[in-house]
Amino acid sequence: MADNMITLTIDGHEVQVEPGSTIMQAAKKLEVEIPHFCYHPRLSVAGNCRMCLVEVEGAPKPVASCAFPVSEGMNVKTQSQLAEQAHKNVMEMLLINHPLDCPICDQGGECDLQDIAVGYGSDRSRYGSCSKRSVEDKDIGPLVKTVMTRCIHCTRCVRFATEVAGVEEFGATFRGQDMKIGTYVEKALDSELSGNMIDLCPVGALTNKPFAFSARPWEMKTVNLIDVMDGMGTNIYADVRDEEVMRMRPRTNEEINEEWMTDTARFAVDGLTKNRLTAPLVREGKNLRQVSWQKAFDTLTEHLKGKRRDGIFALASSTLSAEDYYSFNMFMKESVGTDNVDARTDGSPIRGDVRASYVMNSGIAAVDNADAVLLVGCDLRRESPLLNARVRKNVLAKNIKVASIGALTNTTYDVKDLGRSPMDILDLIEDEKLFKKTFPKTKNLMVIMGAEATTRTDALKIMGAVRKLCQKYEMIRPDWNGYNLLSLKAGQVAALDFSVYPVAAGVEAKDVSKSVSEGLVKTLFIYGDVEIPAQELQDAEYIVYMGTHHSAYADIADVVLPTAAYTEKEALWVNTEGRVQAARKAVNPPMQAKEDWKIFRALSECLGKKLPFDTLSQLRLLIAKVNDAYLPENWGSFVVPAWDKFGLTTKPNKAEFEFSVPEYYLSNGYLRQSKVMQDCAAKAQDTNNKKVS
Amino acid sequence: MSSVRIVHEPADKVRDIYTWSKSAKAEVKKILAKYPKDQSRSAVIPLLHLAQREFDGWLPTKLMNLVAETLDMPYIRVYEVATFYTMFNLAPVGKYHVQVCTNCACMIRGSDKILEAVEKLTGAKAGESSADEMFTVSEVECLGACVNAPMMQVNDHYYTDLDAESAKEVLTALKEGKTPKVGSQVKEAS
Amino acid sequence: MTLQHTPLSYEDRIFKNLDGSGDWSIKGYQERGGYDGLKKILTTDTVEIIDTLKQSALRGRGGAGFPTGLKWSFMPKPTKERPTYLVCNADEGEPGTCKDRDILRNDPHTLVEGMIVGCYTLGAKTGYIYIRGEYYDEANRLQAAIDEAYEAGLLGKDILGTGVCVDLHIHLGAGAYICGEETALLESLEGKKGQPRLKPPFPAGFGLYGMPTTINNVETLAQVPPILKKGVKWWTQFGNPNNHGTKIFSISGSVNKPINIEAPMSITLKELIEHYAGGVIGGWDNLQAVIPGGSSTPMLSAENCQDAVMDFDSLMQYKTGLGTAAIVVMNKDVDLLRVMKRISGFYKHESCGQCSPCREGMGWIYQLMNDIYHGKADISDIDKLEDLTHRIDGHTICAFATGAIWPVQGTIRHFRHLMEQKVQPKKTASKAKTKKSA
Repeated sequence: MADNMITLTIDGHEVQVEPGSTIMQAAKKLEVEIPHFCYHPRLSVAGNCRMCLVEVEGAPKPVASCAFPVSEGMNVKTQSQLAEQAHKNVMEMLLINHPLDCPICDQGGECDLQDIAVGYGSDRSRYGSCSKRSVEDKDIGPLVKTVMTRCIHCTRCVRFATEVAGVEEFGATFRGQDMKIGTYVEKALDSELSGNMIDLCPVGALTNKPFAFSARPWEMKTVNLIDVMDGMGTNIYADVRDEEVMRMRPRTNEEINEEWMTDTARFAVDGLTKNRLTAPLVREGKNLRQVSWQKAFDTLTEHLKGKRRDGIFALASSTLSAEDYYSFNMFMKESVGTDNVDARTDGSPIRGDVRASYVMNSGIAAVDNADAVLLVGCDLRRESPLLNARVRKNVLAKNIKVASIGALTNTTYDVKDLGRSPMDILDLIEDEKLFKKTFPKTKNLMVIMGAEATTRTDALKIMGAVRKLCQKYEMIRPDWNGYNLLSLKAGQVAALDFSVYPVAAGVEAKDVSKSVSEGLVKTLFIYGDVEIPAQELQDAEYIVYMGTHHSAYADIADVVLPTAAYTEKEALWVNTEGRVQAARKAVNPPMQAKEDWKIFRALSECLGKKLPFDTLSQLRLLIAKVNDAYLPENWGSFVVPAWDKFGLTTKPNKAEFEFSVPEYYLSNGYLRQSKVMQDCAAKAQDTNNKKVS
Repeated sequence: MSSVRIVHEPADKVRDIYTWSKSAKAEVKKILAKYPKDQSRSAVIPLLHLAQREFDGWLPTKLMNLVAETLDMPYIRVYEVATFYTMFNLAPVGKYHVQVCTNCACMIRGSDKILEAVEKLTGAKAGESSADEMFTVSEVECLGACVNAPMMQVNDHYYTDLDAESAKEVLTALKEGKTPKVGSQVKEAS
Repeated sequence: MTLQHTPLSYEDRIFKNLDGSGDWSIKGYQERGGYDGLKKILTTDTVEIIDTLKQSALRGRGGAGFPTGLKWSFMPKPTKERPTYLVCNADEGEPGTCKDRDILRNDPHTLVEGMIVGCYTLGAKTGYIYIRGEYYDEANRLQAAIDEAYEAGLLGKDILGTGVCVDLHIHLGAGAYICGEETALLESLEGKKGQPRLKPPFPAGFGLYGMPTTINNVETLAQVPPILKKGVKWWTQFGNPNNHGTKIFSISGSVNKPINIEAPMSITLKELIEHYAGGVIGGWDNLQAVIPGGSSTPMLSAENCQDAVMDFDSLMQYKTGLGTAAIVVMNKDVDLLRVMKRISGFYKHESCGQCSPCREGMGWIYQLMNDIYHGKADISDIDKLEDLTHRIDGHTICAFATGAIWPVQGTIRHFRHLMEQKVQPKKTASKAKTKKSA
């Protein structure tokens, strides 16, 4: 506690806060609740709703607690007659033009206006014969539904778009009672974070469009999940009714997502109930026929009997959990006995020898302590919109410098362009003047490598160069590690942790297409939607597909085994920091689909090489031995990995970096199954075309 | 139900392209010189005025975009400003924008008669334009010439100390392409 | 009529060309004594200047009457990183108020000189004059005056060899009454919507572009150089204590000769109307009510007008204020409720829309005023209206809402009977109807 703390009294209770705090912040500390609408701790203070008025002894008028700074000895009353009356007065004004359409409003049941009106509103209107305002709606895209007549002009959405999302497209036009919140012109919001406006809107003006009219908050139970649409490990809630995930909402985790989530994480839920694989299938001629699990296992066992192991290949997608990878890897390598196993279907050559080489060593929250950020082959806005927002926050608040070596991308802040190719990293290492000019007085530099770099064939050389850069400029210290590799995919770190790639002389994923065309692939296991197109794999002699959806890979398969989606299993997810987080199971896998590890365990028994676990707990005990991050006591924590030598010291290629996320809204198997995401992709495509023309 | 202002830009009145003329560019430069280099946004109101003056007396979205691009501002921030201030016309106006003050001082001194005379002469009610698009008539708030009430503003100029007759004379003169005397319309005692 | 006050002599008038009969240009201004002694002021210690202003008890002429010397004393010394600004508020828009317009067009150099002295005193190298957009001709006139001053070496670098540098820029508004609120004015000057800022911080600490800034009314600034030149004693001979000096009164409405007149403070309202404005149309007995200081100030009944003294403190006993000293006279031929309804409509139109009570409340109040005027309300609506005004007052960021509800309260205070007359017919009618059906 600082020694210059200010002591004040709120409702008779003393509290000490830092100078510069507001009454609202002091009240929060005391857990005194002051009703408010426009105030939000993560946005700038607007002070316009006037709901948080309180009495301050000596002040002639009630003051807005969200904006008023505390002073020594201040005596605040939040429940005095003056304060209570002010709350009632403001409430009445907010309600006069608000429609009485709660029964058909999706915000109903989780509406700040409703809740606060219960406390401070009158049970009847004095507005009488006066007519209520109606406001025209504008279509702002497929995600956010607008009913602007309900708007109470708190401007949270405007501030969010401007300050956090960094897309200045939302505003308050006109004035007085004609003031309108919106885009003025009809246009879809160009943001990957637009859904957060829904949570911020204290009324039903901005609601979840795909979710419209589908469930009431009180009908749903809430389950803690981890999002898998990118590598952040965003903490989310799944709201579940019966056996269906109705919607996703962000769950606050200051170290990861604060209280935001991406649109991909929020709006792809519709895909979870459509086009699902609900029973094992076995090919009979042109058709896949539904069979029992036993029959499917028998068919597979029969097929594998006597097959040469070097003709068996296995590919895994990049959105799988720790348990999935661990059991799959062990199944393929030990029960089936092939080394041609790889989860790096994006072609990345990165290996899991040194954990520090493939995680974010600084940690996500360290952005708040960084003086500067260097992006290397990283389209940060697309690869991790949340990390991007965090960088932007610090650019705005502390004016931190951001520079980039990579493809020119559309960021939400100024980025200094240091070049297009990996050679520019070498320049930066050699040219100390350039470094000092670019990052003056920089103690804590975060270098963030992205997928543009890590999926290249020379990724190990780039990593080596970045390691050298960090070491040369003393960014690897006991108190700071500036080397960061951002994983684009939710399963990237876990797959590397468990060496889900060839460890002996097996064929790597990047060469599998070639092996297929050469006729070397006799049996191909495809686990989930991989990054290699189905057309390149379809000529494999025999294909086993394990997955959640009837995707293109199911179409080319001879045996199909239905697995559980990320919402349907108790699972550990490893984010880009290497942080292990446990997610609960929101719903059961549909029909006969099963949790993945159970399938591998059962199948291994059929093959006569039983995997050494019978329960999830036993499996997790094995996983915990892989590294400390997996110890149950470390779940949820950021475990800093040991620093070691890694990467190659030879020069990387001159080739320029290329965009890593060409189709953001369709960048994994789950997203591709979502109609909502397809709409977003079409809209984005449309906007791009317009920009070009 | 009362409804907030909705703006519809008639497509046939919006030009295909808006670009600053050479003289306007010079004016932009002059305006920008008034403000610190990193505060060019200060010039948004002057530039909107300039834009309106240069192009047909009103501000279609496209023209606001030109101002935004000139100042490197997000479009929405310009829309906010343009819609906040009443002098920016969001729909086309006639050659002469006749703004009759009807606030207290003018009302007391007979602005009803002025408005009536103006409406009669132009054939346009307050909020409308005349059929020949010569005049747009507006009822406006206090224009700050209360000791010279009643009064009206036509485009840039004030015509004060009016009565119905002199108001008509001013507009008739304008209609006939003449330049009426700006300011007080009280006739010198002969 | 024997006058209780001594009319200002030509010498004592600050705005010698307020009526526009003389030459507005620098030549005319200098002939009237303008810019004399400016050099001396620009070499006087600024602390001394602020002290003099404090002693003079000059109070802001823009409406709030805040002591100017005190306001200036809040300003920190400028540094290279944090320059200071002086901004002149010429966003005159309060219904009834039209004094600054006449200063700008008829005596613009009084303001230019005031700005030079103000900028010097506050250490501001740049002064902005924010003029309401409609004053296009007036702004051109002021620009011409500024150009003349540059030409004469009174602006720019090293003014009159004193080393003082001042640049003045005119910034035109675009039609928003709220920009007369000083922080809304700063927002507008920064290229934003004119929405008042939360205070604290105050402009003296965080003003234009985040720098220390003082905002003063046109008349206030113009009065500074004469006070410094002629001394505190000269200034304080006019008006009651704490309300000293000369003041422009704008007398409009039902008078025979509407006029902007500079007179000593604490003059009686009756003398202003009778002596300077040619009297009430139809005679003093035909007087119905007077708005004493612009539309925001609650009106005075005819009875109040008999003795009302026009200064900041004296008018408080009538629960009203001097405001901008814009006197709107209404005689008995005026449809008073219609005028007040129109004023409520003005405030509805001009609310910036930021604070909920103002954004929503202004419309409601106008609705009720309208309903009452048209006899569509019943008697309880008058009480509701009054109750509403108390529920809005003091609940908002700026004083706009207070200014909007004061005239409504004033109307109810003095003319409730007129309102009741309007609503009664409906009430009896509905009663009769009930009887009939029963």
